[in-house]
Amino acid sequence: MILALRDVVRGVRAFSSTTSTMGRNYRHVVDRQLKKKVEYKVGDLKPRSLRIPAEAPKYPPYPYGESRIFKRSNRGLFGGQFIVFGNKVSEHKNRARRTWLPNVVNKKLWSESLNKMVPLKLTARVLRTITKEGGLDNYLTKDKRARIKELGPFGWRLRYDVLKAQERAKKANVKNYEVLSDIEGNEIKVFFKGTYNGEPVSLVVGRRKLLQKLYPVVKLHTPGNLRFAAFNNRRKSAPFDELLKELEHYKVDLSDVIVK
Amino acid sequence: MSKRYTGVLERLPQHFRDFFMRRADQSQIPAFRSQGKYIPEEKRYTRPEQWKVLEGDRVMFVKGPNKGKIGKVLGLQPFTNSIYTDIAETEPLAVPRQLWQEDQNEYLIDYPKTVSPDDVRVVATLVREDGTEYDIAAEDVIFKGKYFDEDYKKMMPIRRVKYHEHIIIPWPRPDPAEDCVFSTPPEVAEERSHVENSILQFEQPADFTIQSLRDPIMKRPYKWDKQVLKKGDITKLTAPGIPYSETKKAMFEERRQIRESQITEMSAEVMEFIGSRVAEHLNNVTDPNFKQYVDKVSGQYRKQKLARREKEKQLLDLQIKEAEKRNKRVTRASAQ
Repeated sequence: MILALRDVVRGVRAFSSTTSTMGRNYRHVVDRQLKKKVEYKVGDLKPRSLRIPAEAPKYPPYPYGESRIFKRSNRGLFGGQFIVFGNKVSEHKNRARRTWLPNVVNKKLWSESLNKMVPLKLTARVLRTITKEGGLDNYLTKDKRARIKELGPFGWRLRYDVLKAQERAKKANVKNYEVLSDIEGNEIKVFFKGTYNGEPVSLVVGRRKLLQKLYPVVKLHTPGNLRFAAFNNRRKSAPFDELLKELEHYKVDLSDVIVK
Repeated sequence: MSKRYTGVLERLPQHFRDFFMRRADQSQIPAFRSQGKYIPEEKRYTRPEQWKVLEGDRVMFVKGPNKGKIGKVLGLQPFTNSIYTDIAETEPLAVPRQLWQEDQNEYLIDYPKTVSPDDVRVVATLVREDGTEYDIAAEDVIFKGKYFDEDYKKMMPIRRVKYHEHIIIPWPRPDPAEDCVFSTPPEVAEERSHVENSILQFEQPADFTIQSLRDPIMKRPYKWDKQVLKKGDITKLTAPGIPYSETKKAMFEERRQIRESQITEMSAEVMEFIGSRVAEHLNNVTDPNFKQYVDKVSGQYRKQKLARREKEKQLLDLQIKEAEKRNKRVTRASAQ
């Protein structure tokens, strides 16, 4: 297939009617054959050939898969550049085979989100792009389709790390409590305002400490050996008022964690 | 030969296998050497059809120094696919003292060489009409049909001369097996000790259940047992998803706002306004064809159409009843 017509055949309307011959087509990236992904559900018959790994994968799979040629590109930011083969043609038109390698450099670049220097093997072209984008994080987290093709498996994993770190930082900024002052004028962290034994109360502890109070009594009233993991699994996303109701049911003394 | 090679001997190529077997043979004293070629287990003869001759058969040699002579098969040597015969060549063999036979008094014995069953022909004795007997040597034998042999206690193929299939060469009679103290008489072995009373009812008690015949405290699950995927397996097989970038999240938020800002239900005022404008337009139309068209697409038209059809049907029914009455009157008049 003519590469310029690829999108036309796929039914994607081109922005311009004249096809761009200058654009990179990432042939080696998009033409990789990927193994078909099988979705397994709980209770499915386990195929005999299926190996269950000891640990879950740490990273999402790169949508275009790994490169089979020029495997160095799987281990760095090569921007979709690969080894190129051609001829050296002399004055007398003698052809001698030669190759062109990307201009690969080793660098340590600062990542704002990861808060550390990241050692990288990257091409000079990608380094220039990173400078233009204004940093490694911006380069990695851009959403354009061409950027995803450029990243390669290594860049994809780095992107995951950066996005996760950003998510974590954002979550850390959101406080799940409000700072109020009690009767004596001391500052207290109030996590939840509700009712306990029919009286309005403010909780000064979070879910973790509240569940630690609830666990021993529930364990006492549950036949068998109730483990904390199983106990916690059911209540980790339960609303606070439900937890308070349960504590009320077991008549747990909460005097040290509530303020009236 | 090291353990490394012997363990996988069956998997080696033929020439390697021969080489190692030769090496192993050379390292043995002559009494222990295997005569002839070693035959792997899967290629050894097991059935009488493969052997073509059995112990006790008379055979004629067609190869070697005994060519043309008639001898008797003394036994079969399965690990070389060859037979012992009574007039076979012998070769001197030094036997260690531990392996001496009862009446042996020297190290050197004459050990018979074995012959391939392909190098002999089965000899059968036939009877002429006048009662005289004569021998034939079958060039080749084929097997057609089976019968139960009482002496062999199993189904045996019927051995026939090739191209003369009416000539049957019977199998030689084996030496009768002698019973020992541990033998079970055939009457006892064949005695029926259990009889089912009904094919509908099982004799085992109703509460008798058995999950598996396998060892219940087996450490590993049996490998052919079907296994289902558990929640933990699915967790280990599932890779995490990639989080959305800030740009994507902003885009989703923008789209959500756009979706919310869009009006999906028409307010009463707008409906009133549009209705009044349409009514005004339709009231000003003077073209009769257009009026007909508007009538047709309006909701009233279908009701009117159904009412008209009902009316037409009633009329038709009435006409039919009247015609029937008229016919009855005519037939009655003609009968009188």
